[in-house]
Amino acid sequence: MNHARVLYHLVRADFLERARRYSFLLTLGFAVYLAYCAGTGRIVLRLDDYRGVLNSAWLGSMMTLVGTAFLSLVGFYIVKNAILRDEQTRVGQILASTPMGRSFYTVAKGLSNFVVLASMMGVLVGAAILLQFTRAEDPHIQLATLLALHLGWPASHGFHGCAPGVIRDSALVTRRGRQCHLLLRLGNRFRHQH
Amino acid sequence: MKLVIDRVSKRYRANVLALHGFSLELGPGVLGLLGPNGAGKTTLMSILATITRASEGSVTWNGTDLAANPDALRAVLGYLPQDFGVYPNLNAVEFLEYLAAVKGLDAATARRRIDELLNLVNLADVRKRPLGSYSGGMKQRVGIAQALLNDPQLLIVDEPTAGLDPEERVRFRNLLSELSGERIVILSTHIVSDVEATATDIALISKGTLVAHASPEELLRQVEGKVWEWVVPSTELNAAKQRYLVSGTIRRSDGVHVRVLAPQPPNGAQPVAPTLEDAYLYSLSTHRAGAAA
Repeated sequence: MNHARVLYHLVRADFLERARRYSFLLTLGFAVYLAYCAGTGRIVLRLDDYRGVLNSAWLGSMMTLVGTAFLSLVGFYIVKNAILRDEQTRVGQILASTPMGRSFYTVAKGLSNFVVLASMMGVLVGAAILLQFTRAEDPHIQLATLLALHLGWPASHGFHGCAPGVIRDSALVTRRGRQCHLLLRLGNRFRHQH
Repeated sequence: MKLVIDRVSKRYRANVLALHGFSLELGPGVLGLLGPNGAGKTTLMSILATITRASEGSVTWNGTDLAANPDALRAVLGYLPQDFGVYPNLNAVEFLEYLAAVKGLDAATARRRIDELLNLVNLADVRKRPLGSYSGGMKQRVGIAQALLNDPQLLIVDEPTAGLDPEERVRFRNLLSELSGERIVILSTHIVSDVEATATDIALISKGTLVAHASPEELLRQVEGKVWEWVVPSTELNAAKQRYLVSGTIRRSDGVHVRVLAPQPPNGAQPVAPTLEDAYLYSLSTHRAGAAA
């Protein structure tokens, strides 16, 4: 079995399935709106009375801050259910009857979650470049500078966003996992009420 | 090519016994696995497809124990589960490309097989449409195509004709007959006519146990001279149903034509040639009577 080919097709199918949903497009639209807000001064990071010049470095920083906050809050809800969907559609039964191993499948699902979130980060990068052109405070695009902080994202929020989605899904496939999930939710509600 | 099921039992939680000491030995051909709903067919299919493990007993493929080495079978297995589902936002080609890769097919072979199979299941014209817009029968045909992607040596299809219209059903039966030569096909269903058209062997299952394993001809021989048809007024139909094992009724202008299974003919009844449905009902009722005694 060609593992790279399997991984590519698993991630591709999972990504296309999610990327073609209206909910994904809505979330993407919201990400673009946030980027617009950050670029037009509605979301401003100030240091006393000073604000940054809208050049590649400052816009890259702004977009990374907006992106990480956005993906940490919303990202989990976008990427959850990757494994549950396979169980519900019974595609999982077909996958379980193939030579693909369980750990490989789990890694592929995690990677597919990562690709979904990275695509949103990619939209923010595109928006940052567009904004730098349109605001014209500094028209010189320095791609490496713009991307520097974005590239640091995978190590931190990539893991935070993708792994819990897969872990939660894996747990919910089992009866005991569902029981634990229900207890945690009930416990959480009880804690908020008291 | 040999699949051996040896005293397989499956116990679920709450002490529910879905299969009990089930044994069967299979070679190339089409096995029709017939049984009422809840008989244990899907559990057996699931064990054979290496998705579920048996609680007791063993299943071997060409001598290899599947509990210890499931991959020995998985590479040559085609499986269509009951209530097959799809990714609604992918089209047929994308979905089949995905499953072809997972089954270990290289890109060129996958492309060729997908083209062949979409033509075979009559979906070539709608290959680029999202699967979510397909009817139930069309989705089922995608399921059949995916099960055949790797040209499997063992093909397991669980209730494959559910949701298919009569024309598609006939087409699928013909397809199964064509495929049966060099492989083992297990067709699980409760629709006797599906099995009648395709099966070279029939296994009857009830309450998790094997009731009978024989060729269609052998099963038919068991009910030779035991099937009768006679006409009763519709007011006497219920009495006839209570007294005899009724395998069919047709209302006509002269009354209700009742088809019954009985060792001795009812008054005025004429003998008729048995069908596989008669044989199926007879075997099940005999087994239930034996179990009750």
